[in-house]
Amino acid sequence: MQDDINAVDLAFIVDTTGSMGGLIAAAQNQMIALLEELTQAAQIDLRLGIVEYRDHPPQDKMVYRTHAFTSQLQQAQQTIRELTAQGGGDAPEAVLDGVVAACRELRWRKHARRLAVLVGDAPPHGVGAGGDSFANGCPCGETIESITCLAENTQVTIHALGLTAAATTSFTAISSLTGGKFFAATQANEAIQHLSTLLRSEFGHLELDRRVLAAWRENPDISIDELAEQLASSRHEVSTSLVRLFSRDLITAPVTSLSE
Amino acid sequence: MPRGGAALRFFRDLINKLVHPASGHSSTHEVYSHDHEVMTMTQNLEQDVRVEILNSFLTTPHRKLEELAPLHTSALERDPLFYGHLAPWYFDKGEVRDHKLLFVSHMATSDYSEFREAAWVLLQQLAPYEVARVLDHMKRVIGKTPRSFKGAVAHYLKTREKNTKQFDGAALRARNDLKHLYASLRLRPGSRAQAILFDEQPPEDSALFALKLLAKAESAEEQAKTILDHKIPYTTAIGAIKHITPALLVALINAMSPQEVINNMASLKRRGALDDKDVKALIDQKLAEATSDKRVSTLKAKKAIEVAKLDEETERTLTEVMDKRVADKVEIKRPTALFVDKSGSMTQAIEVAKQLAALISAVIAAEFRVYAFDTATFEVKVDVKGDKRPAMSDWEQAFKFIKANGGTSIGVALMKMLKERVYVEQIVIVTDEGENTAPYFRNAYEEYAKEMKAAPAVIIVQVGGASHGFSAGLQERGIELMRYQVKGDEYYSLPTVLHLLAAPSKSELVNIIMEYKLPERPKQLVAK
Repeated sequence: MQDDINAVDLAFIVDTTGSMGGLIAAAQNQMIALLEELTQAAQIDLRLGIVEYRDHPPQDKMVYRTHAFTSQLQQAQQTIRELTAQGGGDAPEAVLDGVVAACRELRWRKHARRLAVLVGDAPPHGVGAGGDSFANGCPCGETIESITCLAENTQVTIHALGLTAAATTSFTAISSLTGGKFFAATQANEAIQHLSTLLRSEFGHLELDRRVLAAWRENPDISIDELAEQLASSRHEVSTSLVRLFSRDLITAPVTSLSE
Repeated sequence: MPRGGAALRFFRDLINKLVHPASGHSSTHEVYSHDHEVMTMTQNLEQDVRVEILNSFLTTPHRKLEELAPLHTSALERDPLFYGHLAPWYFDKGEVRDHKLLFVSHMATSDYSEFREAAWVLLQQLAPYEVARVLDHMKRVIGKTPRSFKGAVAHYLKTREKNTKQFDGAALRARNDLKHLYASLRLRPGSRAQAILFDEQPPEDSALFALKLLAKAESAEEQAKTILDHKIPYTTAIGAIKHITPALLVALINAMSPQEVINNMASLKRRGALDDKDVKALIDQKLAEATSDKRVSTLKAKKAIEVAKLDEETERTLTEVMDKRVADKVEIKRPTALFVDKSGSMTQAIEVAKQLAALISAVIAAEFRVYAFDTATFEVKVDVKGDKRPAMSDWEQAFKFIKANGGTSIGVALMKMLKERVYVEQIVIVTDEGENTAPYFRNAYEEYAKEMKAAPAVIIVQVGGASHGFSAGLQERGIELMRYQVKGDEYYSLPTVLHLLAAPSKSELVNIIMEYKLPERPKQLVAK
């Protein structure tokens, strides 16, 4: 429990259809180095998982494939090296399947901060995009509403990187409805920079959460204002950090206090 | 937009409505098109502009005039009638100073003489440093300083020169700003102003002379006497004194207004004012005076709490000051519900909800219910004894162990109210608008409206998120809606929401604003 605060499960949900070749090549070169630098600086117990998605038949044979979480970043690097970008068929892809697979099939740790980064250049099926072979809805039966609900229930915050304007609307909705952020990038290097910014910000929160948790464990009766003063932080930051800690079950409420 | 001669008729009509608002302020109004036909602006268009301006009240960071300026420019262009009424209303009711400066800047540079006239009057209410900021904004951002503005500033400065006490106070606090106004607009100061501001030869009866005495004083007793005798302001004196003793602090605090005590709380704390029993007692006395001082700003009190990190007792006193000030200003008479989105994406909403719950419960004179929801809902109940109103600490306790998790069904809270036959006339929803699970609010609303024979106004306080789908869905169904965005920790401007909740309905609030007349100079001043 003591070290659970440092646990971060990070899943990349990546479109691996043909058009994504450039980004995957850039990720193969830069991603692991970036993650190693960030995790060492922030003392983070990181596990990395990958979900690749393409499209439903007959557009593509592979809908999605999951690569389980691993704390061995070299192993993750090998997985990234083995990703190949191909196929895809029509413009929209099996984005919804990718998110559902990440939420349901990856084994998230109980107390971990759960993050996913959705990377793609095409919208999901059934959201009104042109040239959609499944214009009435994705064959998986999911919608943006249902997958964001699933992500909220699984406590996964999804950030999204949209590599074309076509993905902007749906990726913005998926990220904002799960508490994440959307970034637009037109080039692979730009996408990696956004990732770096995003993870630095997330890991920055973790540092505050760690301090708040330590202070709370020392004195569970401490008020938010006292905490803010003790940690030289603002009331808003401390209060939000506490909610994150409750939500990760790192702080548990006395049974009698629950009004739920 | 009308052209040529029709434009003249349009503006005459506009000004007529501004000066005589009682002559008509229905929710739609008529303007003349270029071919003399009557054209009706849609209610939606009016509402969009008006709600956009009102929205900005909640999301205004201080001291960023240039970022807010486009909002004023756009509002003035799109709905000058409303803008003209909004300015005097905002001077009366608004809390964010930047907006007041922008109203003056934009009206003073307007093409309508009646707007310039109003700016002339409103400018006289500003402090010297605010007038200097208006001038800078007009020069740098708007790019013009009309002659009428120069006249307004000339009158402003002459009025202050005539009142030596007021002028000396202004010179102490804002000497550079006053010099800037005289120099930039090439206005000739009176002999006394010239001596104080430019020649650095303050006359013996002036406060600046007293400040010189203070700087020369050798003992703490002498310094304290000089401060008391001349009522030297804290911020001015503090720069002239090297070592602060409790006796000096007493002298300084005595010379302060309640608002100044609040503004300088962090500085006073740093100088040990809260550690000395007698000095702290004096501060408490000043704070007690603040509850009945109409000049005290609730926003500043809130910021003082944030910045100064005060001890519990002083913070409670200051919170009481703030609550009392808010309570003095508004009273919410309509039964109200606050819905708090606690879904997985809403870690920031819970703090905002606490703040809102505390503010609303301090001023409401009707039933008030708070519900937290994800895909299920429960009522957040606060435990207070007797007739006392719940304080922030009570809400803190009530929200203490609420987690952010689960999907989002905003409708579920309304369905619970329907099931329990709870009647409200307005619903405040703190959310990211990411409703993704049934029962959906729009459907629940229709059912509630039908069963309860009610049409509650909906006020969305959006925290995080970038989705507009939820509010767009409500608007499509004709549900009365206001929407505010709270970014980061800017929730200190939430008290402004109370004005809107206190108005019986949005259209009535617009009507209240439309009742405000454009200010005009007294006739004897116009003659001059």
